[in-house]
Amino acid sequence: MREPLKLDHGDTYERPNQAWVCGLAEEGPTCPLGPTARGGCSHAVACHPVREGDRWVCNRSALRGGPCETGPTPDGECCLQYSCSPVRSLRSQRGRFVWAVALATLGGLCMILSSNWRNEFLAPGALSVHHAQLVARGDDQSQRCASCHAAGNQSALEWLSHAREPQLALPTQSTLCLECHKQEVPVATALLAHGVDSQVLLAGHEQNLESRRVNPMGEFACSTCHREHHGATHDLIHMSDAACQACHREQFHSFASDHPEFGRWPTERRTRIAFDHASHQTKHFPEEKQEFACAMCHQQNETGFQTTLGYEASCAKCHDSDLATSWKAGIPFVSLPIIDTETLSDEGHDIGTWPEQATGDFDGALPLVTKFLLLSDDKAAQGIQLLGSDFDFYDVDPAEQTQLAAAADIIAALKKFTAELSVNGHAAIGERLKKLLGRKISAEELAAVAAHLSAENSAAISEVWFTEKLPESAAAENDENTRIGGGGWTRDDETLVLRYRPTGHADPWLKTWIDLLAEATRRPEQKVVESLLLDMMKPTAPSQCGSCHSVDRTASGALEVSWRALQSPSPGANFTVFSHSPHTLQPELADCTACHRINAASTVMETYKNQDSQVFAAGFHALTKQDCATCHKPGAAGDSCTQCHRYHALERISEPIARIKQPLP
Amino acid sequence: MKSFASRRLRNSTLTIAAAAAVVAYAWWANLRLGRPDFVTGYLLLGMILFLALYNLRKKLPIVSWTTSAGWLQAHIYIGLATAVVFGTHVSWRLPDGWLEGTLATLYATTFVSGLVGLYWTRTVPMQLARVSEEFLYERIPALRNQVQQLAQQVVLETVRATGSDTLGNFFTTRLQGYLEKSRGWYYWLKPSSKLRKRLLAELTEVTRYLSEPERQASEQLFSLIRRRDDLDFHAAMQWRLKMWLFVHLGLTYPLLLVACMHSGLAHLFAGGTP
Repeated sequence: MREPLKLDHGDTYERPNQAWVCGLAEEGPTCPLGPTARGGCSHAVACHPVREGDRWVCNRSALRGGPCETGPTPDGECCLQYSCSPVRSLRSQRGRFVWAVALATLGGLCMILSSNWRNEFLAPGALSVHHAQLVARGDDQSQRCASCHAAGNQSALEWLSHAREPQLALPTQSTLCLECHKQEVPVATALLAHGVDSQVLLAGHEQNLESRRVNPMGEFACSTCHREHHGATHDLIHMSDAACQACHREQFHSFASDHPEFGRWPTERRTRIAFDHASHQTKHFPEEKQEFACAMCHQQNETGFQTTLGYEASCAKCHDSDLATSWKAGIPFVSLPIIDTETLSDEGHDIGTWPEQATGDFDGALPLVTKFLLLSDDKAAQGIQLLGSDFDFYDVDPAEQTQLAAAADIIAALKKFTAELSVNGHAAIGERLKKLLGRKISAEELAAVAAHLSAENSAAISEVWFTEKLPESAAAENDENTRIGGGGWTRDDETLVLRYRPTGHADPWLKTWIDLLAEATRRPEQKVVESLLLDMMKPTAPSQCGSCHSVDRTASGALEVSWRALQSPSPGANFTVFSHSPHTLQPELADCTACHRINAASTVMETYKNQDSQVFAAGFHALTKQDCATCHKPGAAGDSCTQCHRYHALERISEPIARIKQPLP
Repeated sequence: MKSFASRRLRNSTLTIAAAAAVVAYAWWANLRLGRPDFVTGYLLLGMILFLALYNLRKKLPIVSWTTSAGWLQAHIYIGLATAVVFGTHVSWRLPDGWLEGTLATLYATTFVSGLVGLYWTRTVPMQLARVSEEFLYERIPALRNQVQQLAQQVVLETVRATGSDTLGNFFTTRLQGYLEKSRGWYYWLKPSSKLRKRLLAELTEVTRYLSEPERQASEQLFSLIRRRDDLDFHAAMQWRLKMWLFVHLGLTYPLLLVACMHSGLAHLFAGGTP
């Protein structure tokens, strides 16, 4: 058994906490005093010899080994002198290293902050590709950060001044966002929740804001949701369900379990074209031996929106003949009623010359267009208001002085108009419309409402109807109808009527007159025009326009005619978005009836008897959540909020929101 | 006095609870469209500052709030909790900007160096305790020198006494270099007893050619070789314990500097209130 060797560790006092250690530590016994505080050698000796007589004697302590064998030098110096070059202790080296690294770091940071590479170094990550390509333009790359950050092009000294000068932090980042995005979102409301005025947004909601995680009445910076610098492929517009539920009090754990039923959605109003799917499916199409297929009338456009095809493609085949029959005789433009000139004269109302064949007991109605134009005459307008917009001269009571006076005023205005028409032609129509609408009529509009009315026809009203007798050789009515094609005028000098024959569906003359009537309903002083328009849009009117085209009252109280079915999503943004494209690709959904089930019991057409488009009966059963939840669930088509709802809704949708909140009829 | 196990259980529970509270706060703030980044960022900066104080406490008696052991416990558990706070702060994503990447790298290396240091301070002392004797790190060079001189003295005396140069040749060819020179860098990174075993085997092989006095001298050489290897092992392992602090402390202050700069820039570039 080999005994382990015991080493002499010595009794040196180690001072590892001091900055310097003895340089002799590598070789053997170190200096008992150690280096000075500044790293100098203390040049210690093992002892201080004492003189005994004429000799020097070592007096080294017994603890340090006792007197040495060599002894002092002849001149009394200790023979064991410690001399070295002190070295830094490990602790001191470590401290210097740490300081050096810290100073190097500080210096490096200062260099970077003052270099051209500063902004690239500070950027917390790559921008999304959409923003990156924009800020990459231009020669001055140092301005890239300043596109979105006020501090982006400021110096380090200016950064330090932010605490003292808060205006250096302006404009805010959201303001800078909106400098580019003002086209997409209305700037005034951009930072409000959903970009909609808070009061409008919360209309119909419970106002208990305390129960919400975030008060939706406040403003939200763009960066609340749109987090940049997360890489080129980062989805900037992604919004988590949790973010939605920061404001939305009702907690949605899944679409299937928590989403409410759709209610009336997506039918926020009655369809613009009055159409009863049920009766066409079960009655009209079978009668015509036609197949009732959705695709015959509805097609998907490039955006995935289901559009309704026009009249020619969808309706003309069956309805053209009805329309032609309705205006076979033409639509009266000007006609002279039968007037009891004798009674009028007896009562002091001199109407002057009046055609003999139009003289007798009061009878006959004025054409709607004539009535409309006569409203430009103040007295006639009062007379029409007194007698009613739908008055017929047959209803004038000869014993009633006020009615006689009104009739006389209307006759006088009619004669004035016919005289102007004879002399000025189309300009007479234009002048009156200008007064009625409060604006100048464009050349295109005038051409449409005049429909090439010839000077001969307009002149004949005065020359023939009022001064000459009807020639015996005048062509018969039927011959006229044969000779005059669509878009032409026929004058019946026997019944004293000037008629227009429409070209067919969507005749510009008729449409323009209806549009001008609708426009005139915006003027509060022309309330009677509303009745004229509704008379013109009666299903029984010659044109039958009102059979399909609904008349809706707008928010301003005026009326407007819906000429076309909805061809694109409602104007402006909406909270809910839906594209048929990805859905109809599914074989089981290719047939529209998988979701849209016709409600045969619905009284669709009844709803078009009034002008409120919001009060209606849908022709289809309401969509059910279950229709969607079959596929829209986690792991399948997904059920996140933003798949169907979008955050940014323009101010314009505030009205539809309010309507959605209305109770179902 | 609380047992080690109960203290560890208490501290671990507190750490996990605090970390969970931070995660819960970030989740709560995110649900309210808030920006927990600022709170977690300042919390993380405060924690790192506190951790850095552990070094300063030795220099500043005013911060000697508790014993060194108490400081160390707080340093370890708060250091571990920073990992969760850091993860929450960066939303458990890898930062990819230069500044944030540098900052994250500094934090990660500082944290990992702390973990390595924690592991070494727990395992190295046990390894050193298995060696025959305890050596002060500062005295090891002198002791190594002592071993070398002893060996040389033993061999010279034997050669003078016996006139045989067998042991002397072996010493000059195989042992002198080993005893005089420092060990290679690989040994400092991964100490092993391979060389010691080989030298002892070679000396054993040589012994059969030695006379009795030489054999007695060789017995001393056996001890000196073992002792030198023990000293080298001590030196390497204690060097390891001291060197990791160079890394840990060397990273701490750059981390603090870059973190402070990052927090200032975060305010400058936050975009302001709506």
